[in-house]
Amino acid sequence: MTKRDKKSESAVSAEAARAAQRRGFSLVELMVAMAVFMIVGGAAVSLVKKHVPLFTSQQNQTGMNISLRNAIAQMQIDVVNAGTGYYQGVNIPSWPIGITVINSAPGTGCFNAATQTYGPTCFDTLNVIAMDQNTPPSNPSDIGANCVSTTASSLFITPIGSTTLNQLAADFHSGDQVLLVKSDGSQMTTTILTSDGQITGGKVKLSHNPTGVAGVNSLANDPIALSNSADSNKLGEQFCNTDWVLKLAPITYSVDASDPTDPKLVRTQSGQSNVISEQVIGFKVGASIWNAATGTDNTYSFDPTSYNSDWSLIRSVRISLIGRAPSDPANNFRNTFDGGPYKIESVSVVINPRNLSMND
Amino acid sequence: MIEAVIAIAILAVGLLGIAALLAQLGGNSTLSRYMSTESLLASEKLDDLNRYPFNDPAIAVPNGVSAGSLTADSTNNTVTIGAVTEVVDYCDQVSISSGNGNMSETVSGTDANGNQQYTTTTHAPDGSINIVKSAAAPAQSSDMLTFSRRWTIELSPAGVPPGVRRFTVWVSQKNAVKPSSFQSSMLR
Repeated sequence: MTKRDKKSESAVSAEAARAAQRRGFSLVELMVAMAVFMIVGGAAVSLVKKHVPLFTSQQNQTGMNISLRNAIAQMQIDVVNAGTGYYQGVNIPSWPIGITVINSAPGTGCFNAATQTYGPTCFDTLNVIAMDQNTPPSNPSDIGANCVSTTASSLFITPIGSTTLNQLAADFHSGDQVLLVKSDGSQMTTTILTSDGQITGGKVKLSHNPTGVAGVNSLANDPIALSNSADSNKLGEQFCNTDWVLKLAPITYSVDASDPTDPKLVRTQSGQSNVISEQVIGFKVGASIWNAATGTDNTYSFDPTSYNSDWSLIRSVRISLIGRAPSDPANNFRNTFDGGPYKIESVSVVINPRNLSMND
Repeated sequence: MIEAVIAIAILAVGLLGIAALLAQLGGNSTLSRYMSTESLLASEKLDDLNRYPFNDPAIAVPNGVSAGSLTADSTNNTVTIGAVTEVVDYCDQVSISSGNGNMSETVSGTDANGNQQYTTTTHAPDGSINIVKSAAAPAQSSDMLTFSRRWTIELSPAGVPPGVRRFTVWVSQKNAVKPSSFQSSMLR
């Protein structure tokens, strides 16, 4: 073999090596690589796909959690101040009623397990008694030598301080609820006005729904249940010119179950309602009642008749709130509370109105 | 072939990382839910402590002294204020369960005689709610979450005006895979 032949052979083999390098994957290698990639990629897609409903579920749970916490926080702010705002600086007695509770009687119409719907009898109503700070207090005006009786359908009031008759009359409107309190705080009652305030003979005339004897009212005439029971020994019908007439602006927490698929917790004050939490499936309010004989307050009661609806004995309330996340019927998950295809969360909190226990 | 194997290995490592991240996200979300419950239980206890009259044994404490502990359960403390002597616990446990078609919350404590007592409030879907007191703890169920609460009460601690009480509550989930705790204070 000549030198030239050797050179030519090495050039051919180098060329073959370069050609092999340029050739890339064989079909088999490519198919194996793609198969492995598809398996790994499929696993990744499957993982993400499985996580999406989990992520959605967690988002819904977080939303429910925030919603319930906000509702509880709002109630804490209102309830903790219950019984305050009775016009400090004016000689109105400390009136130790800050809260009334309307406990529902659970019944068959409450929960429908087939449709997972909740009716109004599932829920309680909580009222926080508050005064309208834009309406100054006033005194009832005697009729001759007699005090006024709320069993009549009208009463007359006179302004105090610098308030004029015109200003006072303009503050009262049909539908307003007023509170009448004895000057020593021994008795009270409430009534709803049937017309706007009118100036008559140097006084402001308030036409109202007459109360029953001893100032007792039906729930229709007193929706915040302040005077629905004669057992409380705090009700009265006679009020004189040293007593007080106060315009109420109560805060009411109730559940609007008009859409049983989405019961809503609603806060209402001065005729304005705001939904503070949706998909509420439990709202119960228990009251801890002061026992003067033992100097203690007892287990939370969910039945006002057990304490004669004597709201002045309430020292704290226990609010139990249960919410649910949006349902996912396609998911096999069923909660252990009501068996529905949704997550639930419960929040319970004890709130102590600040000035309802100061004299214990 | 080697290049393909390396690429797949890198891809696999990346995917495993994503999987671990997703798992951690789920765990953290659950943890934040537990912490939310802990913060509620803490604020509830602070509010509960705040309702007592200033001379009640439950919150009575000498000047500059701390009652209770945040690091260990403090039970059966005998506290005397004037003619009143009470056994005071500075800790309790709250168990929450939604099993058996009810939402139950059990709070441990002691009765007037210092005996262990468990108060269980049960809320059913039909709107009924019952409170039962018993000497025995409720049976453990798979969905039951139990939280420990401990608190301290200090009168005139350093840094606050004389006569002011400081309540501090610590809450932690018991037997948690991933422990979490929440602490909150209030001045009165």
